[in-house]
Amino acid sequence: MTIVATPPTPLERFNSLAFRVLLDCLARPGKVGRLPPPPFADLPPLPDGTPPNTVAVAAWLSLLDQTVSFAHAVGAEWLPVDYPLTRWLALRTNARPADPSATDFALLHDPSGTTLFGDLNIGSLLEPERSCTVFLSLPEIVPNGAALRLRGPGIATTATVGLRGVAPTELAAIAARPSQFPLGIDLFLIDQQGRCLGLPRTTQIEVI
Amino acid sequence: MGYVAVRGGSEAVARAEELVACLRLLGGSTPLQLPQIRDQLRHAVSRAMHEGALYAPLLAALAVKQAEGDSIEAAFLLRAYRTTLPRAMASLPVSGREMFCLRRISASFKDIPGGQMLGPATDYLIRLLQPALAHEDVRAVIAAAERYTALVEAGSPQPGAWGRFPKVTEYMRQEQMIVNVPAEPVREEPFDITREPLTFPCPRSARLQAMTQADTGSLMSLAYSSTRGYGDAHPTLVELRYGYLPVQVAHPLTGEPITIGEIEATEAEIASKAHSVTNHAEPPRFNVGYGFAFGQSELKVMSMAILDSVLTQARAGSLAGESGPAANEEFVLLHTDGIEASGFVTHYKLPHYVTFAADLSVLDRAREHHTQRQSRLGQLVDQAITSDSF
Amino acid sequence: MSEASDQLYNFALLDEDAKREIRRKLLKAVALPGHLVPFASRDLPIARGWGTGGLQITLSIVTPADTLKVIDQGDDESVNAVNLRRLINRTTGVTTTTDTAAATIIQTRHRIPEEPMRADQILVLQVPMADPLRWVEPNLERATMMHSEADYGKMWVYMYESVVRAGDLRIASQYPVIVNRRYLMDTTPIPRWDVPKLHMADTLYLFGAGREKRIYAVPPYTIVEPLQFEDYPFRTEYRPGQRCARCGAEHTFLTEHFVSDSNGGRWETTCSDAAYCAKRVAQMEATA
Ligand SMILES: [Zn+2]
Repeated sequence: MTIVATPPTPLERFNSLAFRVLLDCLARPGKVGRLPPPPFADLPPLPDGTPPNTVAVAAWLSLLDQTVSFAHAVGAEWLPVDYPLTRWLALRTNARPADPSATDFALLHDPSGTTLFGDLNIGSLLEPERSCTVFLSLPEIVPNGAALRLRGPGIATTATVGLRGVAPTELAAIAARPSQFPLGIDLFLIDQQGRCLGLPRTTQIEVI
Repeated sequence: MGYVAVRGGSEAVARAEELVACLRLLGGSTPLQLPQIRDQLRHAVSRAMHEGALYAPLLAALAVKQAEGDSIEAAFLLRAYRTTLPRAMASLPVSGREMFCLRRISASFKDIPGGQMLGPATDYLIRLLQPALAHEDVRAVIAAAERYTALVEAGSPQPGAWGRFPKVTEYMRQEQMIVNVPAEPVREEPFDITREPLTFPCPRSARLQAMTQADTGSLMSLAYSSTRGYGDAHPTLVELRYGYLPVQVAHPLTGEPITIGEIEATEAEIASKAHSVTNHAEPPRFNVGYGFAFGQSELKVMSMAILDSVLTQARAGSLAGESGPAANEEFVLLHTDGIEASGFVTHYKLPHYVTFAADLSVLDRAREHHTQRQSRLGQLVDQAITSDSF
Repeated sequence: MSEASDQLYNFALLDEDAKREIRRKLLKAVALPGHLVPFASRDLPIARGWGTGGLQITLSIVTPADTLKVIDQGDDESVNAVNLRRLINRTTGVTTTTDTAAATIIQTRHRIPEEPMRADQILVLQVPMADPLRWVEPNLERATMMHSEADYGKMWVYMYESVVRAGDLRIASQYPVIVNRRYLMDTTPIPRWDVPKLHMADTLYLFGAGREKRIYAVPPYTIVEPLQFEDYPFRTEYRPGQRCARCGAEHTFLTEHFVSDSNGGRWETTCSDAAYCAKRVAQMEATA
């Protein structure tokens, strides 16, 4: 049969493959997925001069376009609109930098961003889907490790997962993230190797 | 055997496609050329464009040809093509005031600033079939060109100024006869129902966009129902204009407005019954309804304008008596899109034998229930009879 | 492979922004099991009501590495399945299959395959009517309010009335269920036989209603309970003793159809899942 479409570009290819990992991880909390290699490099640095987690940024960007808004944070601080990386993100996606309370997508560049969960939009009963989707970059996710115990839709009985480089208070913040079903934020944790863990608002999380 | 159980559905689909392609030409007549359709089937082309929501006269002519004149199918073809096009940018707001009018009439005042201009209108034609059209040849084309030139000369238009007119609503607004444009939440761009889900309540820009691509006949029926008695529409045509409208965009670098072309379009504004909101601080005024469509599409824009005013009044709570289906925004917007409605109605041609088997199973159980109930009833009657001593 | 000039369209037809919107909505649908998520729903070259919702989901999730199966009424060769498969194949070039076990994505209308689906597969269901409340509240604005408050009283009354009138829960297909103990959800016109397959499944189910512009999902291992009464429990179409005339299966969803023969023909009851039935017949022939 004649193919009437062009093959996907490397970026489109990444976006579609990354989406399948995100979808699978969100549908199966506790399952640790592996994102494909990012389609770009050389991002503007974070305030301390280190590069951001490129694969986390790429996966997050795969969902952004001119119809949505975003905010991102380093440490416990939201980065300003005129920060070079913010401008790079806006230019690349046409998405609007916005106040955290109104933002559709948030990227927390390190686990101390967990203290900012309270700033984010949890949706409304009429439109619970309008809540924020949050990507959190962290040092390492260990499949079947022993940091968090998870229960809820997508999990047959219970699942456990390990998180390295995340302080006990940060683990507690993840477990206590805003989630009063059907309201709440939906969370993706992504490590430096591109491992991915989805924690939708339906998941009950317990620190082990 | 049915068209599902037959193995080889792929084969059947391919053959069906070929048959359709053959049938159009089997009569042996000369194939239609696109300019013929564009020029001589003007209204079919207009309708394909406004219902297909794409301004492209030659492509619309192609759609009309490919659809063999079926208006909904032609619009569907254009929609399916439009959806593959990137949305480069939004045009600057266009005012009907800028229209180069070939026709503009008002039913609300005898004389209007700039004057009435009947233009090309079928309204007052006596609908007799014209047998001469059956024998037209190239001489008719020459005669038409000559006649048109003579008509234009006889009209002796003022050079430069003709074609552009002030709007009747401007005068009415000045005189505070009609309401101001309803306040809307400020948006950078109008709502685009092809990019955002249409949920209710919806902004007026979404309502107008949905209606301007809706099926003409469906809008007409609902507008008619509201004026006839199943509603509270009391429209007066303030102004209807048809002509050419320049379209401008902001230059991406300088922001300067640039004209990118002009479109053939029809616009209508209607005034409707005093806006009688009792708890309103302002004095009563007429409500306004707006209609717009590509091409010369007068029935469409009038139906749309009537429905727009009914829906605005329904939102404002200023309808009197029976509101009728035309006052229900969801009902109107969700059932008048020709592509959606026709798709769903014809989808019943698709095999439903799984659901039908499920229905049969429910029917069987309902019958069992009926039989049991009847026999229980019979027993009760028998008991009643035997225990009764007459 | 064709010449570049024939490649008029983007991979998987939809433009990247359209796919992104659907992907965003799918993630929210998974996080809100059973909740109707509005989406813009693009126009497509196939008619509304003919699977445009499922098709938009498939086109948004498909990658060149996928293997696709498309069924209608359980049958890969149904004309509409053929047509959708042809469109997806021509705009993506992905491999297609009729074998449930070999597919990574299955797009379906009216059936869930008989063969159990696995965790590495996704089932995309085409949905004609998204909101189960339409039977009691056709106005979307009010129905959305009822969902937001989990106010399903009217629905229970409707179900009760059907029991009183017909002696059974009268709804044949599109049987309403409660998902994750919160949202009332339409199961699309799958027969009751398929409804239990939604409960605590290994597979992710994605639902797309193109004309109604709604997306929803049932994640794996999610509680899905059909509406039922203690004295009128949910029952499938299963009848003891039922049997497929072709493969002999005793636990499948069957449909009747007419078979012509030299005596003028007869009615026969066979599996509606044609590929499953054929697979069983082939296995029996191989062992015989
Ligand atoms: Zn069988």
